[in-house]
Amino acid sequence: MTGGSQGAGYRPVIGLEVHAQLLTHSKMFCGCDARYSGARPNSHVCPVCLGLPGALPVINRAALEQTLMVATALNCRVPETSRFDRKNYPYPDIPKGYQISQYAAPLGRAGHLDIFHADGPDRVGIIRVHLEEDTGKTMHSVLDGRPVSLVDYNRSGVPLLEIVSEPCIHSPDAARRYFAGLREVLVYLGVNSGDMEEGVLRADVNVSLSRGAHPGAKVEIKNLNSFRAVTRALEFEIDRQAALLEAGGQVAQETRGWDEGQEETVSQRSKEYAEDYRYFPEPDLPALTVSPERVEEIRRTLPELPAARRARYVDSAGLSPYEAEVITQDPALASLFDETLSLQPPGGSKAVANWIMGELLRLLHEAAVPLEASNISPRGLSGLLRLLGDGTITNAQAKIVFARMFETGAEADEIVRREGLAQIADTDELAATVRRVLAENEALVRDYVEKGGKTEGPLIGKVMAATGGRANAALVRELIRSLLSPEATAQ
Amino acid sequence: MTEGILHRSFLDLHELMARREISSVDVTRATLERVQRLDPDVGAYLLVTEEQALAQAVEADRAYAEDRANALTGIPFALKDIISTLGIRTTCGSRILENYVPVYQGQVAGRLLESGAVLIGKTNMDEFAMGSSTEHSGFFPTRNPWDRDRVPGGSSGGSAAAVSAGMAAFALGTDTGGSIRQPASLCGVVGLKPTYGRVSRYGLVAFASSLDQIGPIARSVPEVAAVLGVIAGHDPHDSTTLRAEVPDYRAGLTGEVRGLRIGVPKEYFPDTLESGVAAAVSQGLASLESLGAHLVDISLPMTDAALSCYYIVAPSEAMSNLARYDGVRYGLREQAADVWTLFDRTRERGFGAEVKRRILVGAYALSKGYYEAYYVKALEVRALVQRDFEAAFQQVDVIAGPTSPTTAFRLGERLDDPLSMYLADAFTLPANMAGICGVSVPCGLAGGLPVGLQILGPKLGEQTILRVADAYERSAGFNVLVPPLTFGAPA
Amino acid sequence: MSVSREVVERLAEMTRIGLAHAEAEALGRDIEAILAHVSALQEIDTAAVEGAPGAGSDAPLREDVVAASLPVADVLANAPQQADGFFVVPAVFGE
Ligand SMILES: [Zn+2]
Repeated sequence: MTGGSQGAGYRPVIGLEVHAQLLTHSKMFCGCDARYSGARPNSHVCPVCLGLPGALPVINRAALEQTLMVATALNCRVPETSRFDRKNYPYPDIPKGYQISQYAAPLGRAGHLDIFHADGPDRVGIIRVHLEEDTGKTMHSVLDGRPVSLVDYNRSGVPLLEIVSEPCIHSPDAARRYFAGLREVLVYLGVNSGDMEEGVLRADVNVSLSRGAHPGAKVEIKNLNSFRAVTRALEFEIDRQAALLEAGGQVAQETRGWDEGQEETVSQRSKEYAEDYRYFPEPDLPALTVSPERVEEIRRTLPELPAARRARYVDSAGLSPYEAEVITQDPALASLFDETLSLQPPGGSKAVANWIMGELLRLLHEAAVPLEASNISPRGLSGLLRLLGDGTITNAQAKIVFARMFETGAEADEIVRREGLAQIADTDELAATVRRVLAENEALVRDYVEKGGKTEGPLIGKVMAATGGRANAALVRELIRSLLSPEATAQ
Repeated sequence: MTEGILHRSFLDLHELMARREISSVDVTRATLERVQRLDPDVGAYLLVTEEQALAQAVEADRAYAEDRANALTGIPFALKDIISTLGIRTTCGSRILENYVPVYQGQVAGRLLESGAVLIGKTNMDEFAMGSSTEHSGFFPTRNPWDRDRVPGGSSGGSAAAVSAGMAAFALGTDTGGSIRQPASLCGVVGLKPTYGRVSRYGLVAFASSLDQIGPIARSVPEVAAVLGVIAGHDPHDSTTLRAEVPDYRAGLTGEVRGLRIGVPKEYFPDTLESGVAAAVSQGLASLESLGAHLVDISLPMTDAALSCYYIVAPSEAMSNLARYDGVRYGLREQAADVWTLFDRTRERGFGAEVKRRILVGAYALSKGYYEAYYVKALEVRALVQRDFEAAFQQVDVIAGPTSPTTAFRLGERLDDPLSMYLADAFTLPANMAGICGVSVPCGLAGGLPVGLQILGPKLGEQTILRVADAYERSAGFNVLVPPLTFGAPA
Repeated sequence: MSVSREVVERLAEMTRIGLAHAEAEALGRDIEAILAHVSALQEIDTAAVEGAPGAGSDAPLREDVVAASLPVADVLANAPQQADGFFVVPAVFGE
């Protein structure tokens, strides 16, 4: 919370409306490809999503299923009958002059999301989860010296989830945590890519300042598409409202936009009835019936959500909260962790976590690819850990093997065999080498004997150099000690 | 070949074509010539697709030669200009779509063209189907072939007039509140409004989506039954279509009505009913009784309320459906320096007074503060209208009465009084509110003008109402009412 | 039930229909007459109507399979103005 508002005894009251594009193949109400990023303008468009006269919508099953997953994961009540409504407002990128949305009977109601942080969980109430269609895109340009808007309908009709929180958040940071927590859930459920730069996740925030029992006027800030924008816009707005109130002014109930460059909110003048959307039931679509049994089935088959997973990693896998946090950030990483662990003998969790957080994240970062694009599999990582554990390879060699595995996907033992990387753990073979090294380094041997064995380091180094790093260091130490022991030298 | 053949049943024409006694090219050419001769005085067509028609006729004759013809192959027909046709201008009778050419095929147009029927052209209508006289066409009014000073009814007035004057063997209309049955009644032809969901609306430019239904207009009941068999059926593109199987409607025309209970609602015979209409309808009912049917006095207490309800529901949906005509993607565009002025001017110039009236009424009924009192209330009353019919169909098999309270009225007579125009649909629109089926069949003349007998059936009761209409038509001794065409150049 | 010119103009702005003052007044009278007629609805007892609208129905679902879109030339075939594959309108925030 910012200083000004706190000092004056104002309490920010914040709610979020998050819009998330669903990860379906086709659009919400037609068969057009929903993955429009990079496509030619107006190339993913048909009579339905262009709003041609006479075209009619048909509901995408996957969009409905994904919405039910989210509603269930957010602990919402799913009413047996839900319905689409028309939200009427004229805009060039709304091809029908209305958006098919849900108003009176959304798919999910009255849920919550628990957000974990240092002080324990914060519960954010969810008022509703509903399904709608995205709009087209309008870009501003100049044509023949005149300002024009260019309209592309590729995005028109992409399924969009709207998740509305209770106004129960009281700081910009808590708002950001909630937004991030929600993003994590959506990505975990596999219903949203989480790719904020692509605009697949956007938030409208509303904020008012209350003092005591007196609520303040609500200001809505539209279209924030990064965590930073949410935090900064709220901080700015809270300061602005507090300053206004302290100067004896009044906050106008209005919609404001966020100016990313200037880092300030700007009033978007609009007449009150521009917000009169004249909702009514979409007559082109019968109501939806979702049986309680279906909801129960979805609940049963939901994947484990990040919060539960983190708790499990800390409680039963013995990871630190930090390790659990890092690994659960990406559901693919967490799955790799879980599956690798299941192939390991008990007690291996720390080692698995170390490899994922260390080498794997480093290589992914260097290559700038997601885990799916690498060749690391649970089986592969598990094989590597086995070779490391039974002493077949050294830690240094393991890193080399892991890098090869990352590139090629080959099994660890195959890489070791092919590249001759196996550690020399054969006592006879190694003993011969140690004898040779001792014979060639009389001065070091003398020193070793005189100092009562305290200078074995340089000797081990010589042996390692002679074997190209393939020697088992512990075994080398053992051999040196036994070859230079008083009993041995006495012979 | 004489033009006289153009008033024969197309089922006979089909037999003649199958026996190679006439060709589709002959019939098509004769039809086109008749259109050329008569239509300047009637104004049924907005567009005549002569070239395509002749090409299709050639193709139809080939189908007959190769024995792959069906009852509609080679038969000239017309489509109300609200039904989308790929590559053929579809205006909805509106200036705002004056130059709109669909880039996709509507479901029903596609089915007819695939069956080999020959499209003669697109017919005039009240703009966006809003009206009961075809005077609200954005282009010109259509005249009743029985009396050119009178209206053909509407909104499918062009289709009814074209069929009545032998300028098409059959036509499709759309019925939102009576727009097939009322013009069929006023022009002396048979018109069927199917059960809501029986015929796909994909490609039908929406007026009021929960009420609109496409249906056939022809000169006899068996022809209507034949067309319905082709256009009816489930369509995955229209989520409101019914999955019920499509029966052989023609096979159901047994002429048998003995023991059938026909409900006669007292609300359909008010004091204000034109006496000639009352007389003709009563005679029609009497002949059904003489065929062995039982007449049962019933009451449909929600008849008046249905009218009020209709004038909330239909404008509300229309307000939303017509929002897409904004000059951005297709249709008329008025130039302006900013997009909002462009919207305002385009819609100001593109829409006629009746359309504007209904859009504004719809916006009013759905706006904040009025939604509950108007729209929600109307939906509740709509449920009561449905119950009215459900209760009646517990008692009787079909319901019969006048289609329209009057015969064709004079052009201009009701143009300045929207409410009196609305009353023309008082007996037809309850069926749309309830989603049931209804047919209008000619039952004689009053003052030299046709009168229609309306037969209503429960949902998916098409077979029954067609059987009753057909039995009546056979017994009435006139298969076809031919207007005394006192105009047009000599044949 | 009075539908003033101001109300008509507000409705017209909501639905983006430019109206001349005279037209607004005439439409106001018509709308008032229509609303007066439909006000009969208010007297109908609908207490017996219950349940969510649409309850019991079940919308059909489409499998999530990509189908061909329209060729861009068709998408733009009816466009009043276009450039580089985009629909063009005067600036949204213009003037
Ligand atoms: Zn599409």
